[in-house]
Amino acid sequence: MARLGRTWPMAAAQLVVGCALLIGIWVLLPARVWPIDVVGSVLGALQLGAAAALLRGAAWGRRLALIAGWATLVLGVALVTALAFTVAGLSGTYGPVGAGGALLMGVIAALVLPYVVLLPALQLAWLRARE
Amino acid sequence: MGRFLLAWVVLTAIGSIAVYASFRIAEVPLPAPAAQRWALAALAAARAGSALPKAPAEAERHRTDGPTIVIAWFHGRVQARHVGGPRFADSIRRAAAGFARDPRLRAIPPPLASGADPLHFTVAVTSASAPLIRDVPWLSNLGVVPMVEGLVAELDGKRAYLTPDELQADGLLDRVVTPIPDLAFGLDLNTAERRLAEQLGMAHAQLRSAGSVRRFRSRALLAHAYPSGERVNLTTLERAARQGAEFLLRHQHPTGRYTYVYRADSGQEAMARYNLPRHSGTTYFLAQASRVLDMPEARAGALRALRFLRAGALRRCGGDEQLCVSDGEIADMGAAALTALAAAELLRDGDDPFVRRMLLGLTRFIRSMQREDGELMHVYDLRTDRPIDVQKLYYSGEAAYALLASYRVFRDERDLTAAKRLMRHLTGAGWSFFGSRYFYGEEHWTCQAVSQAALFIRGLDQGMDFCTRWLEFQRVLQYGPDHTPWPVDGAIGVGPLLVPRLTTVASRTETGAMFYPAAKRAGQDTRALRAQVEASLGFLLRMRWAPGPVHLLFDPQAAFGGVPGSPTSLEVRNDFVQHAGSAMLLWAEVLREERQH
Repeated sequence: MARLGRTWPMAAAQLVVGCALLIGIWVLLPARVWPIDVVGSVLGALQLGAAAALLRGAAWGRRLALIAGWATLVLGVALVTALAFTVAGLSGTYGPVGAGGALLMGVIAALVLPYVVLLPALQLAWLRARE
Repeated sequence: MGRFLLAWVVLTAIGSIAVYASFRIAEVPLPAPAAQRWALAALAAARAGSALPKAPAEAERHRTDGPTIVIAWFHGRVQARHVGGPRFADSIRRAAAGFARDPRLRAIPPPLASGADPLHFTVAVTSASAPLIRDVPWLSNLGVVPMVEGLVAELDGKRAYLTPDELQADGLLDRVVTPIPDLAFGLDLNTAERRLAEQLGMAHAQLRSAGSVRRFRSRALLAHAYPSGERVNLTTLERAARQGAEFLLRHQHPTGRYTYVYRADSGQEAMARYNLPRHSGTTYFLAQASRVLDMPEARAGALRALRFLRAGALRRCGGDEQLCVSDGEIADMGAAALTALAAAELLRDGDDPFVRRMLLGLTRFIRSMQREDGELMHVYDLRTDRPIDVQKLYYSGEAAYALLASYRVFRDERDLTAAKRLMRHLTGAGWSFFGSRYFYGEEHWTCQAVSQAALFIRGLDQGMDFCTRWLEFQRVLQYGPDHTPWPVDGAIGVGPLLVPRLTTVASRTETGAMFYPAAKRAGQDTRALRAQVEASLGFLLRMRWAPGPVHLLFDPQAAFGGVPGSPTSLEVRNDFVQHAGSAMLLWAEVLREERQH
């Protein structure tokens, strides 16, 4: 129980991210694109698995949480970088993206950044602090 | 972890700057006006078989980063082209010499007695090239800026070019279809690459595997500038509306049916299901043109159009004296409302017993479809002789406006009462939800109804407030100069990736022009609204075909006065002309009124 008391905030966060990824991909996305579906689902499953392992106090729970955190962080920064390069390319081609374009990009960044970059970074920092 | 994130942010920022710099192409400088005039005169001289005029020093001095591409067009298709070098004057002289010898061009009939030449020349001055994303879905479709950029393919030292005009003439723009009606965007890159491969004399697969395809910027010199430089004033607005009405009448069948979609690249009517609400909306504009411009031929055309409905589409819905409009087993509110509106507009300009009977029957039907809460049922099932309580886009606003237009003619209090109840629903309970101050729908008909109602009804605060906010919202979406890669200031859009649609602008301008006097009477500060309306009208005037991009049109005389769907489109649907023409006439009436006072 003491162990659960130390780990439950992180496990709960992973549970939220895992569920958000799976619901987002399989319920909210309007089309099936297999690279997105597969990679996103694997990430979601990893997060859920790590959450369950941490909650159970499994010996390999911390290792799985590290794998899930790094995988999400690496793919997350790649996604945000790709979005930034896309915006840069379109801006170079068309000129300023305008108020509508800026709003759209801002919304995407606000939706993506906290879950695939900031949260995994916090998760990894927390896990390393408990080494 | 902190160092990792910092490094990532820095690398992403540096990478983004590098991507931006590699994709950006600087604006292409045009030759001096004297050099432009000389180039077009030299090509005309070659066509006439006379000696070329001497090039001015500005033409001899001008250099381009990319080639100068000279194209000869006939009936909207490329007949001959010459790809020159960076020396502008040399490119023109070589093109003129080549065209003068070309047997296909010599076979084209000479200019008409009016001076109009069926052969048109364009000169594209181009930039250096930049990369193109070819293999990422959607991004590759958005990789070329329509009307501004062309494509160059290269393999083994051989190059092939497609100018922006050629991409438009081949119908390769706006080819990614979306679920939103009338909304498409992006280039058909696959077909464009096939065209380039044909020019290079190789298979498409060979170009894809071993060749390069890049973008370049281009600016065209035209004998008739398009977009034109027309400015907004009473004369230009009335002339443009008259020419729009003449376009519709020119393409109206003897039966009264209009050409629904005119394809200017072929001079033919497109295969498309005929739309009765748009038939009636077009008739409304002709009736308006008859009244405002004193055009008896427009009144005759509008009467022909109503007789077309009487012959095949006027039905009885729920009673002998209740008329609706349908060409099948279902009648909708839109066709009935717009037909009533057209009839009321015709009666403002003079009585006609047939039109009078039609309007009375249609307004009876509209009133019979009203629910307790003021909203209308929009569909009537002729098989079961029962209304169906569904609501469709536009129809309630159109019906409110039609009832008020009818009240203006007949002063029947039942029309006014029904319109009041309907508008209270549309501008009050019908648009009240969390976030309703940040988002608005297609309310141009609703706000035309409010503007019309302001003539008869006091205490319209709710409706006036709603329409003021709706027009402010449209103002936020309106482009200023240099907001997009195109000369479209005054247009409405949500970002530069989509070429703005003229009808979106026209319908909102129609509403703004009609709302302006009502807002002024209500004591509102109307300066921003006036600037908004005039900026949009300027856009419509510049983009209409008078004569338009003549080199891309099969028959420029037949297309004269048409209003395309967008600057990239070569199609004119009848309601495109209607909305633009109505907007122009409504503002012309405002300007006339101001001149009189």
